[in-house]
Amino acid sequence: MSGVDTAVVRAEWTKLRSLPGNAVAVVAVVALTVGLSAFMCAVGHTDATRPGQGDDDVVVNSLRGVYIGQIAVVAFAVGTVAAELTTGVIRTTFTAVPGRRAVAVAKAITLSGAVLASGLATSVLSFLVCQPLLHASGFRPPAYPIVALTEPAVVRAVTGTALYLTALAVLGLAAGAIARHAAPSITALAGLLLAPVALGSFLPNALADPLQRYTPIAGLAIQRTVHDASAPIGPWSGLGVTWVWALAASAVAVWVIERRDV
Amino acid sequence: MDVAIEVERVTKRYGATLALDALYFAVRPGLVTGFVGPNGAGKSTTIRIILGLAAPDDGRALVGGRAYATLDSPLRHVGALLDATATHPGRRAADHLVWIAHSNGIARRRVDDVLELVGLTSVARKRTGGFSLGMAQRLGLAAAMLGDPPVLLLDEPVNGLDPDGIRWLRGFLRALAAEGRAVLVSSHLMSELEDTADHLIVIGRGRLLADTSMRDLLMAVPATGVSLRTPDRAAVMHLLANAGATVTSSRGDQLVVTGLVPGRIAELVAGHGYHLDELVSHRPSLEDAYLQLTRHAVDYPTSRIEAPG
Amino acid sequence: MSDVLAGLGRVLAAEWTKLRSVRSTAWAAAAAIGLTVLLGVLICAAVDTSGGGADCRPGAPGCGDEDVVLNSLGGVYIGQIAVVALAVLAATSEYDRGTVSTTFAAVPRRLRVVAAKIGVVGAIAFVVGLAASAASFLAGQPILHGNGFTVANGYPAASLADEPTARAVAGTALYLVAVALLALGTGLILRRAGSAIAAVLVLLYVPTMVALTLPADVRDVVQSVAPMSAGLAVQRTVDRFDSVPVGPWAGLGVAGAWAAAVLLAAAWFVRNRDV
Repeated sequence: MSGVDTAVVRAEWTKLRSLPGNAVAVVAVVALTVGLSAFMCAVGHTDATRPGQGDDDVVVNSLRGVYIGQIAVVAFAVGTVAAELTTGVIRTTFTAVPGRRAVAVAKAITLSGAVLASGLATSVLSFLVCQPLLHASGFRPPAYPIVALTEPAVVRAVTGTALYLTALAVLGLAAGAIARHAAPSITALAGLLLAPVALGSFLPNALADPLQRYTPIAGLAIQRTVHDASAPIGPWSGLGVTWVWALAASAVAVWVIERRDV
Repeated sequence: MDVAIEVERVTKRYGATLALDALYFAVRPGLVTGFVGPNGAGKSTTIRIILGLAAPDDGRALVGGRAYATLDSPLRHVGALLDATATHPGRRAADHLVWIAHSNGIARRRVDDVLELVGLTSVARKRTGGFSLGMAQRLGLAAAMLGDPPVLLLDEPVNGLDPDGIRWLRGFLRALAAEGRAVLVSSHLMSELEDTADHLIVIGRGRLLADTSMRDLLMAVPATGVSLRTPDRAAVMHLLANAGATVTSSRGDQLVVTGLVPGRIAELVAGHGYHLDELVSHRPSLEDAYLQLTRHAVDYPTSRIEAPG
Repeated sequence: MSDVLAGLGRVLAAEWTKLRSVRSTAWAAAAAIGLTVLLGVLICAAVDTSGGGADCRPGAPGCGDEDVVLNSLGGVYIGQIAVVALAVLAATSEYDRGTVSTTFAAVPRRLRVVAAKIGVVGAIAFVVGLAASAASFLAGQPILHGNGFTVANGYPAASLADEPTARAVAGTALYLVAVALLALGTGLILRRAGSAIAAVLVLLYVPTMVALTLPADVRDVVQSVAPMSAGLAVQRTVDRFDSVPVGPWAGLGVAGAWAAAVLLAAAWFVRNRDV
């Protein structure tokens, strides 16, 4: 990690964890995320009685809360940057550390670490909370084998969700740095994440598929544990799309930050 | 009216902190009243309670004998300048004043009048995001004057003004008071108030420390002494000490005398035929008086820095 | 009573001045109309009459059940985002910039300010909504005809003079009013633009997103009580197997009820919070 000073990272982490109101917001979002997953698992039901008869992806259902969590992550990421820019704290930051790229990277690392950890914890929690609910809804042997957290497919889905959220955090950070205001950044990103799936419910495939293949939402494919031939994109490719968005936006953001007056 | 603003035993808590503790004072028309106190003393909180923006936990504040919220066109009764930077940066200065005027049914023409009053006519069409702090303060004053109110509440209006602007503001406020209006100016800086305010309300830690005229406050602080220079040092020291004064010598050939009024000192020295090269009486400044009053009420004291010499 | 109305009139004038004098209002309004028309046109260009099964012949029963009006108004799915932003900012920019103190010092009867904001934001949302839906309907019709949605294929021409079409177009505008007021209330409660926009968009879209994978009975309930899926039922002119199981006006009423509930909560907060 050449060019990244650990002192700068530590400074960014101090700034992040000392923002007021964060603890309450985090708890509320985790509750909503786990709650949505729990709801999906509790109300689902299946008539399948033999293995292979049902084609529901229980792991995906257990992680549905990410629909809410992803917006919270984006809003939070944009918020941390936009707040610093509008209050002028950024001037203190850039005076203390004139190497702006180092600051940007440090911010990204700090935020990524926080989101990765909390995303992982929330996903695991959602999965565990859902297991008994799913069994009660009929998703149990012999039709559906009991799925353990340690199975490779589940590990991929859970860590993949955390990596998806991390990519969104980086994307939000970049968008906030470029637009400098929270409202347009959050509006654009939230719209970009929410509209494609909702539109998919009534758009003809010709329009719906590209939307789910080329927008950041593609990363949710990583949650799939049941092979779905009609899906617009594969698990790893999908996650890759999200990360491409994040890294491309970051490159633009660093370019802009280095050149702009503060 | 005799009393323009009345704060009656107002108490306000924020969580565990007691921001205002049974605060009481009155503001009278025809005077510029300075509202002073250290940072965090509760000045802004008091003003917000007077304007109905915050609710007191106990007590009440009245404007012209009525609660602010019951006034029909409040801006015609009280003009307030709270925070000069509280404007939308993308909005033009004139539009900022227009919406305020509309809200109280104030004629559109007044907007042009107040802009002229504060000297901002040339930048009326400019977006406030491009304003300097001094221009923003003047825009805030213009807004406060829209309703031609008999009462003005100004929270730190001097912040960010250059010396020219401070002098202009001082004249502006004194003229308003001379018209019979009640003017309350809050500040934590004493120097500006010294030539502006007739009356002072001093608070500290949410409590009233003094409600007095400017002169009385200055008189209440004892003079820090008389310093004099004379070629007959030893003799004069002897003479004054025998007369009951405390004499110390300070830098160079200066003598500092306390315990006798300047007139008596001059009388004694001249009466015994000694020369006086210099006789200076140290009157306390508003700064001294204020610091002495509030020294126990400062929440965030800085450590004393001894000047070298 | 008359001076209450006079007072309200003044505050309305003030709120209108506030909104018309910032650039974000015009941008958001233009974006709402532009995005709605753009997506509507795209949808109309992409649909064709081949739905309804492999052996669907024009005029045969079961064919001809594309809802041409609904399709041309589908752009509101995206256009509403701009309306949400506009309405949220009408509330949050006051807190963000600090003018909320000026506003409530000028008008201490705070509920009048809330009522005036409702009036002005609602009116703007209605005008923008009507323009957007009328424009996207009119732009979409020739495209749909080109794609085979003609009388010969079992699709009579729709015009704004028909009752169902007029209801769908006007109802879409009213839906946007409900969305705008829901967003305004959320902005007044949360006081920060970012979190308010995020919360409203989640409330609008997530129920539709999860409804796709819910079992039918649960899906019906969710779609009938969620603000967007119920509210947009007003656009429906053809009953299909996948229609949301709530009537057009009832659905719009659901969206209105959400807005009313949030606004009531907002009024309570505005009245009782310190500024």
